[in-house]
Formats: sequence, structure tokens, C-alpha cells
Amino acid sequence: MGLTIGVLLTLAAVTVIAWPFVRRRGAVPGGPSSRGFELRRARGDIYRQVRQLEVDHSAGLVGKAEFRSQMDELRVTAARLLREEAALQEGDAGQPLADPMARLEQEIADARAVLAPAQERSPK
Amino acid sequence: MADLGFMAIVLGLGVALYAAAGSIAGKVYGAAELVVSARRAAYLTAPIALAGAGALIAAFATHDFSIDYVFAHSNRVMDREFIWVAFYAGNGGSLLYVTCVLAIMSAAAIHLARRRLADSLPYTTAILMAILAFFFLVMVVWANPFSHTTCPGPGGSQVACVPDDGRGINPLLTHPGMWVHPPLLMAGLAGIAVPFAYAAGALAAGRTRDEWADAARVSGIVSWAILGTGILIGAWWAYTILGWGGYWGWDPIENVALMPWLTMTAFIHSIMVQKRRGMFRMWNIVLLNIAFVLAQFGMFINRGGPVVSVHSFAGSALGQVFLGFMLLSLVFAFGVFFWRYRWLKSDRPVESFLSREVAFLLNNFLLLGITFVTLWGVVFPLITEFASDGTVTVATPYFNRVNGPLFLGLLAIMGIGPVMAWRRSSMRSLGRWLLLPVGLAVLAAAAMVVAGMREPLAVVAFSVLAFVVLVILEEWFRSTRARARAGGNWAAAWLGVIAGNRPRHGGYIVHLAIVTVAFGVVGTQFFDQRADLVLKRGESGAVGSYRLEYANLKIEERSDRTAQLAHLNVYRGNDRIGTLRAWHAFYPDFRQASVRAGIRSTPVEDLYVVPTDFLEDGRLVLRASVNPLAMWLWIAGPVFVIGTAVALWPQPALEVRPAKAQVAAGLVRGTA
Repeated sequence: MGLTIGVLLTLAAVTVIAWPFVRRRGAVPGGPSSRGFELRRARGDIYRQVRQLEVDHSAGLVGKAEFRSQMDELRVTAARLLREEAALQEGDAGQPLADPMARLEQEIADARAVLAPAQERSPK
Repeated sequence: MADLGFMAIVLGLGVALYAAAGSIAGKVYGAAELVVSARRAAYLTAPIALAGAGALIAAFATHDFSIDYVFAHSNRVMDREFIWVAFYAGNGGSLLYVTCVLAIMSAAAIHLARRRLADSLPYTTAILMAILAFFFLVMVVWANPFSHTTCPGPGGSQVACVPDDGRGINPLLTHPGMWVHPPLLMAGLAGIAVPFAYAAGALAAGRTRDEWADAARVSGIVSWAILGTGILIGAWWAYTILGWGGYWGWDPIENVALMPWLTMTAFIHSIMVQKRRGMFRMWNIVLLNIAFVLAQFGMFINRGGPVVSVHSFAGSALGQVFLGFMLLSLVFAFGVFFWRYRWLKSDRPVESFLSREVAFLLNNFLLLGITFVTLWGVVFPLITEFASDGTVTVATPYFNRVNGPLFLGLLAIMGIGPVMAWRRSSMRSLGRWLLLPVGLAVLAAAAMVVAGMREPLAVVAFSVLAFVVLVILEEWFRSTRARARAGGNWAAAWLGVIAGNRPRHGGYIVHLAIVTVAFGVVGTQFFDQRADLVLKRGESGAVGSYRLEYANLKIEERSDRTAQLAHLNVYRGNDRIGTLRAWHAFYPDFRQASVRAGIRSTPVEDLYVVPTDFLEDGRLVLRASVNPLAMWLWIAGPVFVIGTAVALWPQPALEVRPAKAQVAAGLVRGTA
């Protein structure tokens, strides 16, 4: 009984391992598309930090000057990520990204709306 | 079952080796099918290891004493609920358990990172599978849990046999705490391999930025939380069963679990600096390397290393195997680090000493300080034994005296850190935040002195604990108030604050758990009262403000033990406030006694009674103590778990559109 289960387990393992060679799929994972994914994810993290910085500022943990300085730094980082991602896509799309800063401000505003509590989002 | 089990571990070894080699070969030669095949092989190791574990558990359940491991760790009178404990009571079974856990964690880690870390995942897979292959190999060659029982045969030979009954389980393991304490410790130590593999895999792939940081942080917190919970439950087990009235003895085996936990504590703090500021990249890799090597050191000490402990698998010959693996891990971990360290530089320098980055760094130094003080305490006796004929014991006073002030400093940093801003904080802002907590902590200290507390260190420690709690409450109050101003009630606003930054506020809840543990430690260390009592039936004796009366004794004879259950009436003044039952059993086959302390627990103090001897004239010898605030040690457990769960609970994902997506609005979407 135990031996039979063991043999079946071995056969199943061989089948599962060999299956990708039977159904060939394509390139090795990784490369430009995963880099683009990383950049978008990093940009999302920056927008979250923007929102947290605003919360810390309103709670008094971060002073006004430091708030501005950190906010500028986060914007610069997000813009760099945006440009890097656009450059990565140049080969695919052909055209450069139009007005990245406006795009950035729009994204930050959208992130703020997503992350703010419901009562802050509702119009007054 | 023995056939199935052994086939499973041999198959597991082959599949893990294939997954390790196939991942690297597929990546290096650009063979996509090989990479996918190797990844699937890595997934397969989990069901294969589980099949092996299932076979061993089934063998215990059916009393299959033809398997030597089942014979050695169970018998027919063993309560069935301890089959699970018997499964990992010895070297072979515990290795099989570790292999199962590591295989499941590896499969989960590989699956969850298959998209985000696609480029480095083959290396991560190879590292995890190489570690797993090592565990399978140890079982196949040195510690097979499915080897057959042998009996003396003709001419002094050994022949396979099936004994009628087994030797039984170690009596110290027949405790509910054993259901979870060893599995959690082993899982926590094994789990450190996952963040290590993410980081080392990324370095091997040349991904030297922060790609791996998220995955390593989450998996690091998981293994850290499992290990921390295991350590706490182990302390509870020691408190209730070992009978010496304590919960932590700086035993080498306790220490080897604590050290990786402390290092991982440092890591899960400093990885936040890397994620947030692009700093401490080298430092984080070094921390992970140290934690991983310390976890291997723990395996070495635990499995037949040179230290004898109530917790270790003493007498095993596996020590050298694990020592070799630990040294190999050390060379590999730091080899990869030095190969890539030039690309691990921080994006920016530390801008101010008054910053959260520096607070985290200080926290890291203190945690590593405690780790190395503890490590020195563990290895010093080994060094002296190796260098001379004598044996030196490093006892509790060394650890308490050196680590005590470091822990106190760590608690103080725990209070100051949260009010530090990233990059820099102004003295004015800090003063505004700290004035109230510091003022109230000083007032609390004055109140303790006025109330008659004469232990300066305890006064300082309690004040620091109050300070930490007050800082957290202050931040929650201010953030909640700021949020509540936008409308809504305070409860909803507070929940919004917690949900808005789960890693930070989950961390604060964990800090509260640490404060709770420290509260219990200070209470029990500085204010405990002890008494040794010898009582006839009907006689009473005093400990602290309690009076204990020996009421009666019940004796229970079983084939494997003689158990005695003493009933004691507890009085305060003339009022009877309860009854305590303290249990003592002797297991002749093991020549070992096992006790269950009688404990009356309140938030203020524990009354703790252990029967140590039953004299022939009918008198009962008791060790009794009053342990102030002991209950808080155990209250910390659920708080710790809740805090960790909050910190790990995924934030709603921000779905950011690709840079070239031409959409007018709705560029960012939240997904729960």
C-alpha cells in the first residue's frame, strides 16, 4: 500500500516536472516588462508616502519646512520613476511622454483621493 | 508506512536538487522551460515532504513499532493527543517537520514573488532548494526517521524486529505548550531562509537596488513573528513544567533561538529605512546574513552540538554535519555579499542625528549588542572547554548584568523613535512631542518612590515603560484628532489612522506587547518572594501575604509513571481565597520527574507552588513563590500576534497605470 502510494507520487512528480517541456511557452521570465512593473510599483509607494507625509504634517510630527522639503524630494523621485518607465517603453510606443509633471500631479491627486478617509473625500 | 516515508524523503532530495540545479541552469542558459520546470519541482517538494510527515504520523497512530523512531518516542499508554508532539520529539522527526515547513514556505515564497521578482527568482529558488536538499539529505543519510527497529540476534548481530511496546515519550514533552512551542521555534528558524534567499538571489542576479526589500520584509516579519511567539510559549512551558519558578534561564538553547529573533528584529526595522529612503542596503544584507547563520548555529547547537540542555537532542552525532552546513552558509552568504557590495551603496547619506533613520540605526546597534553579548555567553564555555581541561559556565547574572542595561536602552529608543521624523527633526518639534510623556514618566517615578519602591533600577525601568506607552498613545491621539477634524467619530478616525499606515501602527502594537513583557520581567525579577515549605497534612506555611494549607494528596499509578496530586488551600489572612493543585510524577523508564506547578494567577501577582518531594513520613516538600506581574508576560502574546497581523495586513494596492497609458483621468486606482 505504502509502496504503491510512493510509486504513484514519483510518477506524478515526474509528470509535473516534465510538463513545461511538453508545452513550451516562451522567454525566460524577467526583463523589460518586469522592470516596468517594478517602476510602477515604486511609483505607487511614493504616492502612499506623500499621503502619509501629509498625515504626519497635520498631526504635528513633521514641521512646515521639513514637510515641503520632503514633499519636493518625493515628487522628484516619482518624476524620475515616471521618466524611467517612459524611457523603458520608448521602444514599444515610439513617442516620448507628454508633460510628465502634469501627469505626476494628476497621479498624486488621484492617490490622495484613494487613500484619504471617506469623510475627507466627500465634497463639502 | 516506512516504505512510503523513505521513498518520500529520497524523492524529495532528488526533486529539490533538480529544482536547485534546473533554476540556475535555466537562468544562465536562457531556457525558459527549464526555469518553469524547476519552479514546479520546487512547488512539489511541499506535498512530497507532507507525504513523508503523514506516513510518520500514521505510523505513530497505528503503533507501528517496526519503525525505530516510533518505538523510541511513543508507547501504547501515551495519550493520543501527544502523537503530534512525538512526531518531532527526536532528531529524525523534527528534521522531517522542519523540511515540511521549509518546503511549504519556499513554495509560497516562490509563488508569491514569481511576478515581482521574476528576474532574480531562479537564484532565490536555487538557494531555497539547496537548503531543503540539505535537510532531505541529512534524513536520508544520518537521521532517517523511517529506519527499522532492530533487536539483538544470534551471534551479537542486530535483526529487524517489531517490539510489543515502545519506550514512550519524554515526560517533559507531555504538556500542551509542546503542541506549539517546538513547531513554532523550528518554523521560525527555518523561515529565516526565505528573506535570506530573496536578498541573496537578488544580489546573485545583479538586482542590487530595493527590488527584494518588500518580499524580504514581509517574509522576515512572518518568520520573526513565528519565532517570537514560539519563544514566548516556550517561556510559559518552562514556567509551568520545569518547576524552578522561572520562565527564562539564559539556557544555550533558549539563547540560540533568541539571537536570530533579535537580529531579525533589527532587520525588520532597518528594512523600512531602505524602502523609504534607499539607505542601509549593505547593512540589511549583513543583518539577514547574520540572522541566517545564527539560525544555522541554532540548528548546530540544538542537534547534537556540544551543549547539553533540557531542550536539545542530546547525544546526537549530527553536530558536525550542521556545523559544516553553518560554515558553508557563512561562506556563501558573505561571499555573495562581497561579490556585489560595491553596488549596494545608499542613495543618500544620513542628514541629521535627530532623524528616524538614526533612531533605527541605534535600535539596530543595541539589538546586535544584545545578540553578541548572548552569543559570547553561549560560545565562551565552548572555547574554554576546547582550550583547556576545565569547564566554565556562564550563568544568568552575566546575561542579566550586561543585557539588562542594553534592553533598557532599547526600550528608551522604542519611545523616542516614533516621534523622530524621516531625514531630520527639529529640537523644538521633539520637545513639543516628548514634554508630556517625559513629564508623566518622571511623575510616575516620583510616585513609585513615594509609595516605597526602593529598587532604583525597577523605578527607572517602570518609568521608561510608561514613557514608551505614553508616546504611542500621544501619537495615536494627535493623529486621530487630526483625522477626526475632517468629520466622523473618534473611533472611526483611530481605526482610519491604524489602517492608513498598517506597518507603522502594527509596529506600535507590537511595541506595546514588548512593553507588556518587560512589565512582567521587571515585576518578577525585582519583587518576587520565595519560601521552601515542609508541611504535614493539615499544616500550613506562609509565602508573601499568602498562607498555604496542605489539604490532601491523590496518588495515581500508571504503567509508565507514579503521579501525585497535592491539593492546597490558599488563605489571605483568615479568608480562604482558593485551592491550588500541584502535580508531580515520576517516570521510572526515563528516571525523570515531571511537575505541573499550581498557579493562582491575577494581574497583580502569581502565587506559584511546585511540589519537589514527598517524604516517607507523609510530609510534602514545596517550593512556593509570589511572582508579581507574571500574568503580563502571557498577556503580551495575543497583543504581539495582533500587532504583527496589523503590520502584515496588506495595504489597499495602488494600481498605477503604465507611464505611456494615455488616459485623461483615473490614473490611480485603489484595490482592496
